[in-house]
Amino acid sequence: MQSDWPSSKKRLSEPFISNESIACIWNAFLCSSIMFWRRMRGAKDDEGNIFQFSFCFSILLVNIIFCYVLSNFRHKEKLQVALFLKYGFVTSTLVYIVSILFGAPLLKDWDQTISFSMLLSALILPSVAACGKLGNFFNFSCLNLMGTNELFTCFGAWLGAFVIPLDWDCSWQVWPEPVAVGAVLGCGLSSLLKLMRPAMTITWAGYKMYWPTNFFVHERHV
Amino acid sequence: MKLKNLWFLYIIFSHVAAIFIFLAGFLPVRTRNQTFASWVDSFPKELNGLVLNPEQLYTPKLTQLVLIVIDALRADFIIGENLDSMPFLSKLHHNGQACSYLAHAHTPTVTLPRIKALVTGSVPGFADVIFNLGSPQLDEDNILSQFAANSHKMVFYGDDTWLKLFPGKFLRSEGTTSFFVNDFKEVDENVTRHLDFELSQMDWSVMILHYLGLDHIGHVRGPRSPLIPQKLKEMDEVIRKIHQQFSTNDTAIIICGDHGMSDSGSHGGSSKSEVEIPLTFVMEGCQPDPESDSDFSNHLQIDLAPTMAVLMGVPIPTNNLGSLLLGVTHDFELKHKLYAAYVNAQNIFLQSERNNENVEFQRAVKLYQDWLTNDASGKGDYIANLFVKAAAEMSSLSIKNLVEFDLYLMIVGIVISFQLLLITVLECHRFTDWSTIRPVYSLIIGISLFSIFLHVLTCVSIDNESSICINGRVPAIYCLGLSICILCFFVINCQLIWNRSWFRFKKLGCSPEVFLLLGSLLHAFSLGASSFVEEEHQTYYYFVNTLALLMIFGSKRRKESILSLIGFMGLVRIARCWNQTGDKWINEPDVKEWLNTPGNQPYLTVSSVIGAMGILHWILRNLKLRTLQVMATFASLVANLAHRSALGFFSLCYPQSTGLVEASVAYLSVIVIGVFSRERSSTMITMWTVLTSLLKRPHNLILTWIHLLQYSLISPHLTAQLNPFYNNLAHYCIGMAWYFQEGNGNNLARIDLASGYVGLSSYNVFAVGFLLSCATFSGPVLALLLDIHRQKLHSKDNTQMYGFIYSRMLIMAFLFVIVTSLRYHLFVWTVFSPKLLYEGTMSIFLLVILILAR
Repeated sequence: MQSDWPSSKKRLSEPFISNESIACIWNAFLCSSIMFWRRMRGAKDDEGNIFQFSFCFSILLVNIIFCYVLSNFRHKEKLQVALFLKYGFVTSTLVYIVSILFGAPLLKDWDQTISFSMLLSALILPSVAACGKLGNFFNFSCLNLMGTNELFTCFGAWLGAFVIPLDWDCSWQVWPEPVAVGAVLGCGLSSLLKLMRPAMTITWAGYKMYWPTNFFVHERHV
Repeated sequence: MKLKNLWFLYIIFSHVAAIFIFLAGFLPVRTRNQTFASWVDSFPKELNGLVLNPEQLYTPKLTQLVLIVIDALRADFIIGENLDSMPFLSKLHHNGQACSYLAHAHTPTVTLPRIKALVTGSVPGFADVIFNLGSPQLDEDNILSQFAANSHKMVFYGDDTWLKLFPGKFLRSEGTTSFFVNDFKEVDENVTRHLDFELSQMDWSVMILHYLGLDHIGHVRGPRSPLIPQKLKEMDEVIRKIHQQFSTNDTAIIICGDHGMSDSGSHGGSSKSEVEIPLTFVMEGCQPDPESDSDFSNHLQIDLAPTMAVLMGVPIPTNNLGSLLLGVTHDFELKHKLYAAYVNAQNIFLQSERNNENVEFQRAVKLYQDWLTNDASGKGDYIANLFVKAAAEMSSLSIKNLVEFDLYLMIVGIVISFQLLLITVLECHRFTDWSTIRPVYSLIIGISLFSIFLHVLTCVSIDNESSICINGRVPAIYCLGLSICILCFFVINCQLIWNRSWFRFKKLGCSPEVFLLLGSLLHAFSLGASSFVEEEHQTYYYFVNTLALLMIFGSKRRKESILSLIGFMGLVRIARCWNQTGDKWINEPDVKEWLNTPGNQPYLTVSSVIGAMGILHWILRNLKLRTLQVMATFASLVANLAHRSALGFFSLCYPQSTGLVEASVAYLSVIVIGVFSRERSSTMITMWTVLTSLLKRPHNLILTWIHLLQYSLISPHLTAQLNPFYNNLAHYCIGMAWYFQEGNGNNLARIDLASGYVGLSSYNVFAVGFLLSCATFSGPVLALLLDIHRQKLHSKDNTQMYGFIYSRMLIMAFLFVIVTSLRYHLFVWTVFSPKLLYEGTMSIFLLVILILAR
């Protein structure tokens, strides 16, 4: 694994605000608005969860358009919408397969599983697009490039599943709601962390430790 | 090398000792009141100056009584809409000659504690589960001793547990053994064939019959089997026969279940269908509960003991906590009824000092006194109700307070197990050599003096009730011996920790390794929530899949790893639908149910044959065996299939047979495999697979093959990516996933008793215990053996097994803390104690196999 943190030389030549930062701001905004929307819906005593097919599909579309706009305005290489679409649906399929393997119901709530997988791929899309990793997506080397954002989104979803077996009998404990909420929270949190990263760099004994990618990345800074 | 082995054995041995120390504190042997009730001193003769004459007020209403205990008769088999399954009994109900009460049995719902509860009227503890298989004589006061003391003659036919509990009490008796679970017919015919003789003889006054057939059907075929209505009809015939030849005005037939039956056909837990049982009285002049109360019944199974005592006019047993069933005494004269209710409540009242605060009882006594002086007969029934209500209240309070823990002993167990955990962790990351041990005598002497001082201080000032303090409750030699043992462990452990603490943790490792370490901690912490104990299988499935996913990311040759690891995850996904377990999703459809429906028998046959062939193929491909061993394996698997056909699981034409010969051929082949061993680890795996596949249910045969395939898919990656310690952890995790995939769970009802009796012609505690443990823990042990085999393959004689010990110790240590801190939790007897028993047994069994196999 290698850090997606650019080295200090490269950083000087970058514009004032990088693509990654824009993606982070967008992610944070999107996640907080999803959570806010969920809150509002919950206040209106609506029983069903908000992560329905149409909702997740529209989020995926919004993120695809955002990435297209971002790459066209900011990126050196202009990317086609078709590439993003392809990426979105292939990732959705992958997530769908993995969540079935992890024990999501196969026949009963298949539409819920599909909407969850689209939500997850939508959340990952901006940060992947901003790093310019999309070009070599279809060989497996992209798996090396799991950045903070992707890691946190998946980890949040992973942790969210722990709520499901508890015997509280709440309506929000049913698949896929806690997992989706976990993914959204993880994505939002990691975007905020990434934005605050310069402040979180710890200097100790001449080493700089960047947290939290790759557990600890040591970089000699003398 | 020798010293190393010695320390290894010491760690395992002291781990087992710590389990026993903790259990001795958690399940203390209860001291009971040993006096027997008698006419002289257990009846109140006066009430605030009013003279009561027990001889006149407490007279027998019945001369003869038949008690029919039907094992696993759950309430909805004969109460409610299914009443018609016993047509004769329902006719009696309509004529008003019989009435049924819905009653609750206490947990654990296992036969021996329930029989004890029936006859003593008290609530036996959880420790009785452990003694369920070998039943010691009952020396407490009970209803049968009272019958005997009042010169009633008793005869008994049925489960021989009764004969072991009450040796020499019966005029005539014959026991049937409950240990051939596949026998549905003969076990009951052996009881019924005596009826004609006994009904013509009539020199007895109490006859007890205990029918086992229904329980056997439940264990093997489940509660929805078509055999159950047949069995109930048979029971109905028995009742009709007895009723026709026997019933007069002063006789009664009582029918009850000792425990219910869960929806999977087993029992032991605390679900509604397991604890609800019927109490049916076939007698003149009883009154059923009013309709509106039928859902909300407060009756208990132990209510039967005082009710029988009152009906037969014998003293109520001393330790009784049940309250009289007023509906049965409906036809009594009022003064008799009131006196009986008073005696019953008074008896419970005297058992605990806390009952002085009970307002209801005091009020009832006062009203009773008024009634006796003024003879205001209008209020009589109200007073009787008040007495029964007070008795029920006091008894539920007493039952709650019956449980006493030995907290000091429990804490000592926890401390020792944490020391051992620490030693094991240090052992795993050890850099120093064994030769650096320096005996530090002053340290040993200092620590031992200090802990003796602490021990004396605790005993004197804080907790002198514990059984390691000398206080006259337990023999002094026992206290001293236990104290010295604990002291030795403590001091040696301190010394070991002190010697090994020059260690440095290496960096934690790659992501699957970090996940395994943190995951094992996370799992241990999660056991604190009762839902995570009930749904523990979900945790393991989730962890195993996450491990595989992380290994895809970590592997070097990614394309191949994706194929094999996704295949592994897919097989885990398939296997998790094989047997639903746990609590929340147990009713989801699963493959087991589908294969076991009668119409799908051809599929079951085909799947078992494929499974057996697959196992054979896997063994041939992956293990190094001699030709003779291969032939024995083949013979054993064929005998295995033949055994199942003989029991009628398969739709094959097979000659009539009991299956004993086939099973013994299979056992013999296992022995042959063991005797002609060439390489130890391969032989062990073959023996284990062949043995457990004989014991398992037929639908799980193909699952064993799926497990072996899963292992073949993941093992190259495990070897390539993880170091030996983490490899142990990963194998343990996979083994536990297999354990749950086979349908085990953390509920005592999930034990599959039928597998303990495969091919046995006579009952033997050790054989049954061994076979049962083999069948239950087949998954984890298989993973352990596979890990040993894998390590032997790669390095000659350097096996590193501390990871396994670490996982066992981690879970035990955390579970001890959890159980200690939650000992007054609502679920402690239904969720945490069974879990503790499971984990303790698994630790002991797994570690014994580990010592044998390495």
